[in-house]
Formats: sequence, structure tokens, C-alpha cells
Amino acid sequence: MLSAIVTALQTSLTSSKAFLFANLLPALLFGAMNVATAALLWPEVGAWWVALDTSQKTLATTIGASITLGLAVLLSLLATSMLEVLEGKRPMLRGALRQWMTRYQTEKLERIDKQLDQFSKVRRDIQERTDEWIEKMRVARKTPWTFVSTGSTGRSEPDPLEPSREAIESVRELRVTGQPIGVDQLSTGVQAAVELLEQHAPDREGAQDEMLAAIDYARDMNQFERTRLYNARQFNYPKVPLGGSSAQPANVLAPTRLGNIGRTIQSYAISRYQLSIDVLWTRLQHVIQKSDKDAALLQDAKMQLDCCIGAWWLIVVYTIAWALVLVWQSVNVVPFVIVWVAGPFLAVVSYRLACERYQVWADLVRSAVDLFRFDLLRELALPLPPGIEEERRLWNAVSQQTGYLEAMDASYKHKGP
Amino acid sequence: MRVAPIVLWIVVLGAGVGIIAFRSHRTSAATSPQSSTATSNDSCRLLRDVKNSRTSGFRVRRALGRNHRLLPDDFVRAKAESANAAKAKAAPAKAPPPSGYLRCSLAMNDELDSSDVIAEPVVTTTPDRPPYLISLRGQPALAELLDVGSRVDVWRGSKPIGLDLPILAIWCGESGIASCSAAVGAPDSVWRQLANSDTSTRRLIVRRLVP
Repeated sequence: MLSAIVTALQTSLTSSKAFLFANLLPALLFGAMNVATAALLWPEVGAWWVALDTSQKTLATTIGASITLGLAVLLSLLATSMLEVLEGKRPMLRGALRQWMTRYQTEKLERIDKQLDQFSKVRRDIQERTDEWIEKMRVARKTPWTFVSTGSTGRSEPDPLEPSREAIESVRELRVTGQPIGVDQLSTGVQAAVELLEQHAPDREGAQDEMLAAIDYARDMNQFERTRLYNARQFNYPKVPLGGSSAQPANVLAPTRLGNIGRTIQSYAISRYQLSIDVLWTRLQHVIQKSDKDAALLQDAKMQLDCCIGAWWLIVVYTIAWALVLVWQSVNVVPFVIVWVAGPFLAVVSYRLACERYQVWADLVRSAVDLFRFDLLRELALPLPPGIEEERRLWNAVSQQTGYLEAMDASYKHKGP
Repeated sequence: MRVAPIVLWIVVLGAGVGIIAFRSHRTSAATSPQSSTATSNDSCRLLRDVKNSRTSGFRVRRALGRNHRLLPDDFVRAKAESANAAKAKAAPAKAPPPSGYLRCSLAMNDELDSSDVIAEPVVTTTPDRPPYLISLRGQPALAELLDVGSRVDVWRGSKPIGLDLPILAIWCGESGIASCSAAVGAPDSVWRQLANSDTSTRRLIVRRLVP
């Protein structure tokens, strides 16, 4: 254990930027928050510090710095485990809690899928009916002018076209305020425009233009929302299209949002290339490191993710520990309320930041799969496939052979001397 | 599904607040005699020795806490009136103001009864703050300045030993103000430092006075 800590310390200090930002910074903040809280609650702490002479203060500072450094090294050692617990990979999340969390993720995904289906249906309906709506307005525009005496009584009569104008105005309101417009609303609007056109109302041109703009807007807005939802689905949940009888374990949902973001990497590589990133990630990393810029980008994203994960754990430890201490010791409600309100709030914020950072990191890894997979094949001395289907078969075979010792039949293509 | 964590959070918040409020209530009940400047309508005065009760003929000028060391400036002579008239007549017309310590807290203008006065302070303590007696020989003025409920810092030489310690009683011996000591409530860590046989000068610095 000691040698592991020393090795981790050496490794950490050599790659100092990542260590400083991802481990030492959260550890320092954690230490500072604890000292500040203790000093606020117990005046004796302040008195003890003031009572120390210079050499005692130096000693105390050294001990504090050593503890902080030790905590930073511990964070560095536990970085993977801490992430895996939050991903739901470790058995800490199990039983009813795991089922409850997985149900929550599944229902969230089902809601997104349902919304996507609805948007697709609206898109189809708009596409199918656009020509019909335009034609109706074109025909209405050609209606001959006929004068109809209303037999005015001299009193102010309500305008019979007012409801049509209101219908078009409501469609316009949706458009200018950036809200989605449904097929029924478009249909009503077109009908209203047709009435204005048939009656040769003075504002008939404006009504027709408004409805044409609304139809274009509804189509664009639908596409925008579909893309947004599709990206949310793609970057937050794993999805491998099912084909034939082959099982797709990458489709299984994790119980947490972080876990599902992590699984998008595997599902992306499998669905595009049949490449198992779980098996080949270390080898791919080796190839990526030949490009300094890409390796630095990945390293920075991972560093930010580790910082957020470390901060989340330390905030949770701080909140629970101080809440217990205060419930046990304090006779003042206010510090407990502050800790119990601020702690969970900061934990939620750091978890959300971690999810965002993980999305960025996952996207970089997906890009790395796209960009560096052929370099990996060259490193493995395998011939480059001529097409996408051949490539899928090849990666599937390489993944199976490397990860699960299933024999593959391939000829090597060694680099020239 | 989102509601469950929020409900759990609220339950823990409520439980924590409840536990702390309960302890706070219990602690204040246990320590109130030491820091009280409350009204006289507390159970303490109801439980006094009624049989030996006798009006002293004095009213208190201001609210006084339990264990307060009585000083001549604390009183004004009461006029004989109403229901207490007979008892007041029974009191010596020009008797000197009583000396000693208050058994119970009194509100401003409360009439002092002879059974309200005790010869020695009775310090009620809590387990987390046992009393420690600090001599005021070097700072005799504090004997009249400090009162039950005041708070002080204790310094030894140039180092603070205890901060914001409550005064539980000011105790004075037969030889007047020079023999007074302050009983402070000190947490264990401070108590040990106070008991440490260090010969440096120990001084009290007033942090808060009772109004």
C-alpha cells in the first residue's frame, strides 16, 4: 500500500498539472472548508492557533499540508473507483436503490423516445399536408370578387372575419415567440387564411404570407427540436440498433446519468464499427498519444472530469460528516441548516458539472475512435479494410480475439524496413 | 421519482433541526439560572421557602439573574402598599440593603423577599462546561463589572486560553472585593489549560457584559 502511494505520488507530481487541478485543488478546498467550519463553530480552535508560537505554527502548517497532500494522492488513487461508483459499475449501488435508479433512467429515456416519435409524426404530417395547404390558399386566392349586401342597420356589426384574423394572429404569436406549431394549429391557420382570401379581405396578402412563413417555421422548428432531442439521446444514453439475433449488451442502461454517458462511448464504437472500446481502449490510447494535441485535449477533459468527481465526493463527505457532528454537538440550528442546504446544493452542482465534463470527454473519445482507428490497425499490423462492412467484420474479429480469445483469421501487414 | 430524494432531504433536515432544537431547549433549561436575567415568574421563585418569607422592603432597580451578587446599588426602598403592606411593615424601617446572592432571577421593580437571598451562590453546571474558579485579585474592578451571564476571554501572558467563556457566578469572601473570584464555565480543553500550573499572569478580558 505504501509503495503504491509513493508511486502514485511520483507519477502525480511528474504530471503535475493534472494532479494540481484534479486532486490537489479539491483537497485544498476541502481542508480549508473544514478548518473554516471548525473555527466558526468552536472559538477554541482560533484560540489554539493564536496560542501557538512560530515553530509550533510551522509544525502545524506542515502537518496540515501533509494531510492535504495525502488526501490529494488518495483522490488520485481512487479517481477511477470514485467515477465507477457514480457510474453504477461498483456494487455500492445495488438492490432496491439500483432498481429504483435504473427505473428512473429508463423512464427518462422512454420519454425522450416518445417525444422523438411525436416529432417524427408531426414532421411527416407537415410534409404530407404542406402541398395541400398551399394549394388551398392558391385556389382561395383565385375566388372571384362578389358583392354581398349585408343590409346594414346602421349599428356597428361584428366583423365576421375577426375569428380568422385571431386564428392567424395566434399562429404568428407561436412563431415569433419561438414555440413549436402543431399540425392542427397550422390547419386552422390555413383555413382562416383561406376565408380571408375568399372574402378578398384587405389583409389577405399578409395572412397568406404569414401562413407560408408559419409552415416553413413549423418544419424548421420540428427539425431543430428533433435534432436537439436526438443529440440528447445519443450523448446521454447508449443505443446500438438491434439487428438479427445478436445480443447488444451495450444497450443495457446504467442506473445513473454518468453511467449512461459513459456507455455511449461503447455503444457508439459498436454501432459504427463493431469496435469494442472496452477491450481496445488502452491500445487506442497508445495510438492517440502520438498526437500531442489530441492527447492533451483528452487529458484536459479527463482532468476536469476528475476534479468534478473528486469535488462531489469531498462535498458529500463534508456534508454528512458535519451534519452528524452538528446534530451530535451543536445547540444552534443555523449551522446545521446551512450545511444541510449548501452541501446538497453544491453536490448537485458538481454532479451536473461532472456530467457535462463527461459528455465532453466521451465526445472526444468518440472522435478519437473515428480518427485513430486506422492508425490502431496499422499498429496491430493488420491490413486496412477496403469498405465499411469489411471494417466492421475486422473490428468485431479483433475485439473478440483480443478480449475473449476467439480465434480470428487474418494476415499481418508489416511495415516495411 | 424526482420527489423521493427531496422528501428524504426534507426528512433529514427536519430530524436534524428537531434534535438540535430539543438539545438546545434542554441545555438552556439546565443553564438558564446561570445566565438568566429573566422575569421573576419562573418556577424558581414559586418554589422558594414560603414559610420564612419576609419582605425586605426593597425593590430591585433592574433585572437580576440567579446567583447575582447583591450590591447596595441594586435596590431602592419599596413603599408599603397594597397586599404586601402588612409584610412591609414587618420589615425593619431603615434596615441596610441585604447582601448575599440571589436564589432566583428577578425582573426590574420586583420586590425582594428575604427568602430570595442566599449566603453562597449555587452554581448549576452542564457536563460539557464544568466551572473553574479564577481569582480576580489582580483585577478587582471586574468583581463589580462582571455579573452572571457576562462572557470573558481568559489570557495567560500573551496567549489566549479560553474565548467567550460564560460567567456562572462572582464569588467574594469575607475580606471584601479583593477576595473575589469568577466562576467560569469552561469546556474540557480550556479547563485543563486553566488548571495547568503555569505561573504566568492570568487575565480576564471582558467580551460581553450583562445589560
